[in-house]
Amino acid sequence: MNKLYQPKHLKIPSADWILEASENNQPYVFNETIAIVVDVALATHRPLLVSGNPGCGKSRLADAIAAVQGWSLLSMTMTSRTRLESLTAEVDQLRRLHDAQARPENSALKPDACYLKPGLFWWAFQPETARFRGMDPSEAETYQAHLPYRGIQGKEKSHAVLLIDEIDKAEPDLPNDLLEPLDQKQFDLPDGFQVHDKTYIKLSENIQLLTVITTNGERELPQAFLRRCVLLRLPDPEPDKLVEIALKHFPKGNQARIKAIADKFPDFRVEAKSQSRRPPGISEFLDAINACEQCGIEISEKDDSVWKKIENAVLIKGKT
Amino acid sequence: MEKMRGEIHLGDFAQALASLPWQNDDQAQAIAACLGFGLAPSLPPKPNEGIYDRHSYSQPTPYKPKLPTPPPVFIPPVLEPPPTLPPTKLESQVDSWQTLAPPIEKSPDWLGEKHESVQTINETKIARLSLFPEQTHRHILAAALATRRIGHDIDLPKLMASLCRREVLTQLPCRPEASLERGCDLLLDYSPSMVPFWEDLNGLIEQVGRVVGAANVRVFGFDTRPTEAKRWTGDGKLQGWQVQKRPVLVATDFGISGLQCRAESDPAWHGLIADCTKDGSPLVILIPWPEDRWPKGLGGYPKLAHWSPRTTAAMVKRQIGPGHWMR
Repeated sequence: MNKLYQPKHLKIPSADWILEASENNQPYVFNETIAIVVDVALATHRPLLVSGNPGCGKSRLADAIAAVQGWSLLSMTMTSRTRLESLTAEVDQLRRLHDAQARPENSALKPDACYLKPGLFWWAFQPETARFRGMDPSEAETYQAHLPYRGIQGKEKSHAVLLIDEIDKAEPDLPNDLLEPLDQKQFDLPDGFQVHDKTYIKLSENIQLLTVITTNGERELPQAFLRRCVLLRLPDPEPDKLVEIALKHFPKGNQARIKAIADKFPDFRVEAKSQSRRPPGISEFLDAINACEQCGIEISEKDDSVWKKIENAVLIKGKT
Repeated sequence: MEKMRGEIHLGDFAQALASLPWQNDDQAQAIAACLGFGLAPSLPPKPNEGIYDRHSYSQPTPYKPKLPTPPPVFIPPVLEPPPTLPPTKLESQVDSWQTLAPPIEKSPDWLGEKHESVQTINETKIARLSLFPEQTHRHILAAALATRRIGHDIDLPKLMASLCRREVLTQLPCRPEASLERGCDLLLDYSPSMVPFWEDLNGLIEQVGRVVGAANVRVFGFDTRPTEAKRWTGDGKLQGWQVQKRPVLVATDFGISGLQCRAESDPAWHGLIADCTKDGSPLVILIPWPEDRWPKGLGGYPKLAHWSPRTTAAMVKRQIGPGHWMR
């Protein structure tokens, strides 16, 4: 019998691969493949590119890794307007201009650094300088320029999981722009700015970082980018796995009902595929169970039943 | 500055194998696969693409699960009782014939022929160069389909002018930047003269989908007349193309079959250009034949591009600039 993989870096017990629910995190059911791939990403210090159908748990994986490791979580969802500067550091030029124009006569200008806006990578690489926009703490205090932490802090505050969500929604050039911060773990500050006499921000040596990037595969990613990432494809879970996941989320849930909903999933997927629609994912499955649990709804095949309405609104999404 | 680590290489694989506690071949294979060294493809399989846009359709039919139907029950019909026959039995007046036709002495040859089913010939697929090669299609199509929007880089001349006029700025004047957010309409000419390029047309659907995102592409087909382009919707209806404030990319040979173009082009092309001009939608036409065979008199609005491996993104940018202006 094959022995189960014992993760070296990922702190998940290999007996059940389960992150139990707690006050700060939802449960997550890992498996051996996920554990191996995350372990490889941690060992090689490469970004982890997670692909899979919408709602299969890609983004939640980053939350779960942060919770398992006790690391902080920094996340940002990409849009077509996201660019490298919003992920590294940008200058609030409009506020700078207004402050310059509106200041009283004979009063000094604020330091330029007051207008620096640290992006996700800065918070991940050097949270202590990001907090004060690269200034000395006392100077930042004087100008009230200090910032609250951008993400969710874990027990080991300095280590972080950095989630770049839905990268395929960004303009096609962004993945190439990210090669430097992902590869060298550093990025250049905007022209004319310095932090501790350096024109760049570099990952602190005492900080461990895992970058998780998710994609739905809507747009092809550049090969140069793909070849720098450790790849993980999350498949659509089978009914047994769905039941296992649901019981972790709803330990007191009606098992028979959960199983009945899970058993319907293969049919939903086939039907969605035949109608060129996106099949329902784990998140929709959990929504359906949550609705049934909260409202005490039973599964029924009658067309006018409440369950059919939930099925259509949450899972099938065919009739609007 | 730290040296770039570059792409994942054997060193990463060796490092992972050396440092991780793998215990069997399956686990080693999984480590190799996620680093891109596996035999099985690690990337998600690409969905098959058709000539219609599977992502948009008007009214999807609501899903109804198939219920098990009970087996049919056959009840024999109640027959009427047979009529009562008269007691006397009449003799038949019909004489019987011994033979109706002479016996067959020799059956025809064709009767014994064995009809073999037509065998499909496994044709060898010949490798062919895509008209826009894999290495360059991304840049060419991005340059051809990009539109301009207000970006983030400050437009200094405008800013200086505003300051000199002492205007109160509510937003910073920014320079435009190129974006693919509008997607595109792809109009493909499936007329007989384009038969040699049908594979390229199908390849173009995939290439454009990769660049602007499959969900942002509407694919229409037409035969000679682009204004009559249509597509099949998800619910099996034919939908005609209408200009929709997004870049329009047409692939056609204008029906010339590689010959010199006729002096006057089809009025339908002028109709297409008029529609796009009126709507402000950029129009780019890819032509697989060289420039000397292109039709004249289409005006300056459509950007004609040679659909060829020799075309580069720089050529496209010289024609279009850093993205189309849209009203």
